[in-house]
Amino acid sequence: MNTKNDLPLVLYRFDQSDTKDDFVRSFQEDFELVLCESDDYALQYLENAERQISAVVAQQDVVQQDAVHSVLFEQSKKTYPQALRILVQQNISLTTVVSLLEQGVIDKCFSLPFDDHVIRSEIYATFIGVHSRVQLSSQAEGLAARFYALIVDDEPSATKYLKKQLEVLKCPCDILVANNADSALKLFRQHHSAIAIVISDQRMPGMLGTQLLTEIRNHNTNIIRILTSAYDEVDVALNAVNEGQIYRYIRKPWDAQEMYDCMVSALAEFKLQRSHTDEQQAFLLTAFNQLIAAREVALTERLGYVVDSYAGEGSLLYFFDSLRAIETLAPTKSSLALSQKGALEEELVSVFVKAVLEKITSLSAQTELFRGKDIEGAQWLTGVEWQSLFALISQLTQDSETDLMEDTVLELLHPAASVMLISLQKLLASSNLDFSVMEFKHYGGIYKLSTKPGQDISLYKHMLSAHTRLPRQLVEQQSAMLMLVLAVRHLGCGIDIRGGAQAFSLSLSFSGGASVNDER
Amino acid sequence: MMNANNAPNIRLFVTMKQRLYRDALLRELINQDDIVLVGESSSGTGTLSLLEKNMASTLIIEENLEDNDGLTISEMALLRNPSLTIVLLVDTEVSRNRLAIYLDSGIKAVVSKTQDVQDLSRAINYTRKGQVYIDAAHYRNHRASTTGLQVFSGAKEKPDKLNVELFYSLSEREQEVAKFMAQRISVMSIAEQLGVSNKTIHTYKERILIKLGYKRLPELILFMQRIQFQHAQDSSLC
Repeated sequence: MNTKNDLPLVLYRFDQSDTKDDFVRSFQEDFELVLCESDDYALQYLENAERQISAVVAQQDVVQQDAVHSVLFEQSKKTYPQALRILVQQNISLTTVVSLLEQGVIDKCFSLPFDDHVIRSEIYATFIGVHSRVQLSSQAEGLAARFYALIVDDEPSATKYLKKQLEVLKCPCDILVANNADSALKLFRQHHSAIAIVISDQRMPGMLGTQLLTEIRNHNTNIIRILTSAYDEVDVALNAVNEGQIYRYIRKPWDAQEMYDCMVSALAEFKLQRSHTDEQQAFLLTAFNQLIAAREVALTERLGYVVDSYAGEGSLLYFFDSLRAIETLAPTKSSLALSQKGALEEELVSVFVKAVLEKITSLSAQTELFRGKDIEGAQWLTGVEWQSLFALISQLTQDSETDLMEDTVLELLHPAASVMLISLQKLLASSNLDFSVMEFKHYGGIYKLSTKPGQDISLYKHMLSAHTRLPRQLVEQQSAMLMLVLAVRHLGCGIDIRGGAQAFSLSLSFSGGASVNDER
Repeated sequence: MMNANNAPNIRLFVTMKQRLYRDALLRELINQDDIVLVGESSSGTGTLSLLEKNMASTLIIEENLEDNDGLTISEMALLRNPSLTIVLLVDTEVSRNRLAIYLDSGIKAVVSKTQDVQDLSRAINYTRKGQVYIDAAHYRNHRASTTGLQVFSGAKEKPDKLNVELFYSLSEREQEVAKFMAQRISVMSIAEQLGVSNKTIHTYKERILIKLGYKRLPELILFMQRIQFQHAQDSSLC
């Protein structure tokens, strides 16, 4: 068994054997450890490693003048750019943290004693590839011609002066200034897609700088985050590096030239990351569109004839078109990878097809029984039948106590009409709604059953969106939606589905009502 | 422990369909000083309608809900508020691939219902600032007990491990005090019975809790009762 290959491979560089023993004891069950007592040996291993290294950890107990194993880290950055680079040191100094950030060779930095849960979690996350998360953004964000740097500090005079100096130096970004976290977040929302850099002071009234930067990272990981402080707080800096993944830590008072240099390199980094993300997104989108097109073909092959022969030509296409207009949750890399591997995609199609075919077969059989085979125009309802259908609908919309499934009228209705109501009820129930969000109106000889304004039916995922698993609820909800389209069209009524963001509005129109009035 | 740099309170929202489990879990969690319950729901859509209004910062949500699946609801909640920290509760242990999918959709930690409640507490604490937390130690058990294809199926049969050794790592006096405490005997009475001062017993109490890794008395009582129960079972086998 190659269980060893199953574990993250961790290169561990140490300089004292008793600290090594502690480390080994903490992690030997979790990682495959390669122990290196010298940089030479570690570098050699890097050259010849047989598989992907998940992390390079250097633990330094003997520190000479803030020197770190930067050769090892630099080399591992070149050979294994994906690997997490971790430094463990006794009594780390702020100078070390600041210079490490400037060199850009270290991802995490821990002071002793370290929290083994955190290190384990970080290495595992790298191992399973979580750190490279890409999600398709639902709104297309055009690349701004010029970017903003947002400076947040509670000393207006300082920021004003810095802004001026930066402008004199011809800073490549436009400068926005905020005096506290709240107004920073407001500016952030306003200029969201054009902000490239956020520079925040740590100590401000209200939200701390690290909290603000975390909040911003949650919304957009690409934005370059820089922390500044007038106080030497190593813990703050370490947490900002480890938790907030800041780009730089700048000590106050600011030096305009240093700030300028920092912003130039930060902007370059931002553009690099951004183009990388854009590339990945474009790739993801193309692959996703191909996948959905293939899924639609597969579904049409297996359902097209059956659906259209019961509900009329173009019914399945109408269902798909309606879905396309509903904006659902964006695909992620993993949902795509999973679908491309095939098993889930096949299951999705076959489970849905099976559920729908069962329902259509039973509905067709009932329809034949209802009228007998040979009657011309068997699908149409008689005036009396329309009457009882309308009576039931208005009862449902007016009295929320009415239980559709208990209602005996349901059995007397045309099978398509009862399937229509049952499916509609299921759709409503899946977004925690009932018939009371619908209104039933009659004008100009047409009866209309529609969702009330502002009462859209939620739909987070559908048959043409991304999936990572196949929940029972999805199949039920989606087959109910298709059955609704099918039943309504079979009855010769109109259906109008208007897509929105993760929701849709629905309107059914029954012109059959006109003939009822005429007969009277 | 995790709250060193004055992180704000966790504003917790819990979505679980079964009331009994939800209550039990909440009772355990809100005993932590920095957790405030701001809402609960048994359904996905109910959760979505309340989350924002209640300004929740952390959501614990069950994967299998009646109306929608927990993952979909999580993605939806994150679309509306990317700062929300979500811990997903799954029925059985998940494979690493599955875990990657969950984390890829923005969930911060996945805890299975077969884990103990401390694991969940830890996950909530580590994810409070939006960090991903993987309980990697959790994956050790699988590897030891399984082979080949059925890598993650052995989970259900795995007996709950009770760390009896931990108890014997206490000194004799500490063991004695722990037994008294498990019977809910007050510090004063224990001091009287052992003929020492209240302060000494308080010191023992603190040391016992630290050694066993517990924060509160009820956890210790549960641990001690389980030890005694197991002890009784073992001796009846002999």
